[in-house]
Amino acid sequence: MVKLSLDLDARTIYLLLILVVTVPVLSHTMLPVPISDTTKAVYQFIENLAKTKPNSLVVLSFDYSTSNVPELHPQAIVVTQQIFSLPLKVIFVAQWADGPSLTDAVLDVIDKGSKKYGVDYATLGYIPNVATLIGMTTDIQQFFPFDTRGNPTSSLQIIQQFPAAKDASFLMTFTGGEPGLDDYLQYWQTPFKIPTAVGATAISAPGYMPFYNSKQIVGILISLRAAAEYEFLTNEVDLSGAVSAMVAQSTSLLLIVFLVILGNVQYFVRSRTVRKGRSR
Amino acid sequence: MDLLQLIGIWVAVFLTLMVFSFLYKENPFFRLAEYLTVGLTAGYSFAAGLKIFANQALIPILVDKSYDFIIPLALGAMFYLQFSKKYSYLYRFPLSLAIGYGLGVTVWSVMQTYFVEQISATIIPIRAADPLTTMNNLVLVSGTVLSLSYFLLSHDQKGVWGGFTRAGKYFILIALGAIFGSTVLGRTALLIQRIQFLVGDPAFPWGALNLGTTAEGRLAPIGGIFFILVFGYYLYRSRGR
Repeated sequence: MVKLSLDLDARTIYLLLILVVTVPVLSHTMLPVPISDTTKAVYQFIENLAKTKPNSLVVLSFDYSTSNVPELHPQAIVVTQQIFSLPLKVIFVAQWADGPSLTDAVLDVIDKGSKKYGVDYATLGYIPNVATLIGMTTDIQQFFPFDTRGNPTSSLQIIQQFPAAKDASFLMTFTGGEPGLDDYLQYWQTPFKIPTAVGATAISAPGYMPFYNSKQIVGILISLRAAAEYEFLTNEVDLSGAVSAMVAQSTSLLLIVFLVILGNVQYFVRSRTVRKGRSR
Repeated sequence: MDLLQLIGIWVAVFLTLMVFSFLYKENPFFRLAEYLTVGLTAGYSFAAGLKIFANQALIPILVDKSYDFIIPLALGAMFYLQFSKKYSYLYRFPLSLAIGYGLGVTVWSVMQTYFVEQISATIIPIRAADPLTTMNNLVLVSGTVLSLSYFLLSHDQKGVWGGFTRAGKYFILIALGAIFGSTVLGRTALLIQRIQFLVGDPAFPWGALNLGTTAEGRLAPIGGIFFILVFGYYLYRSRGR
């Protein structure tokens, strides 16, 4: 008779998980990652936008806090880098209070090429409420009298060129939850038909899939994996460290799948043993 | 090498391991990290709110002499009258205004975003040129209809109708499984980046998180060793308690 005793202490599982993550991280192994359709859609849209409408306005919204950094910050780095390598103008905003400092952290590490602050890009900062989110669609200066660097927005060439957020040709939100994509869908995408994409955490991504299927959003970047895929698409391998993390991601998920199967086998074997015991 | 930056990295390593120590057992290090997180988050949000208040209300009134900003500022201040016994009725005015405005801007956009657009997206011809797309369309339409049928609780879920609702339940279970899988994916991503940080991995985005340079990051494990010594001493002292 098969007898399984797998009453593992939770701490043993934590230790195993830490081991299967640490070993690949220390070995620095990299694997190619297959590109998913949702990621390719975002990449392709931005590339096409630069070709069909050069110098058009892109709004990037950093709607996450430090707790979402491992999943969303790598996405923000690679997408921002792609946009800075193309003839596009960018306005950075954030619906989360941590967003402006995370925006600055991204801008510190990317190659900005010949882009100039105030002309090609600007950081407007924190959007504190829905009223501001709605108001800036028609008048940025009124709702953001100053940028995050203390300059009057009226003095910025990019704001003079695009005085209202509804002039944007593309909006991307990197979102850790609410406020995030839903607000943009309600107040920007639906009324003004601004093409929108989302960089999502793995937990929120399934909830955003209906918007992708209905074509309300052009694409979704899902968690750290999408950042790795994006690095391959933009030929910026390991710009954000996402590709390096993929082997550890695979090994950790394999361990979890193995433990789930083992737990189920144990459950069925135990149920059978109990049934047999009762029938005797 | 910037010593202050390095100390910052070690503090971050120490705090990370203080949180991780909960996996071993409940302890004062974890509790301290928890209180620090709550306090810092509250303080940061308060400061961010204050900055917005200064930029959007005080500076326009005091510097730009835009006195029309006094009206929304006064309405906002009236919210606090709910704490006054004598004038508490006055707070209903800004509240009514906020509710009216909120409903006005929300109802239309919610209906359009979540109902009209979503329902239109399911009204599609099931048969497509590509067999895989046909399959996708079939799953999309049947999944929507059957899942919704599960929530029609006014009829007994028996017989043929019971078959429909059972199929709907399976669609919901598959969706929950997908969400669980995604949750695991997300949580492992969080763990991986913390491990990259703790071992001083050069692939960790040190600069993109304002955590210094890769060279400084390589010394991160020293902070980890220090924590292990301190935590080990705590466990030794608290043994048998």
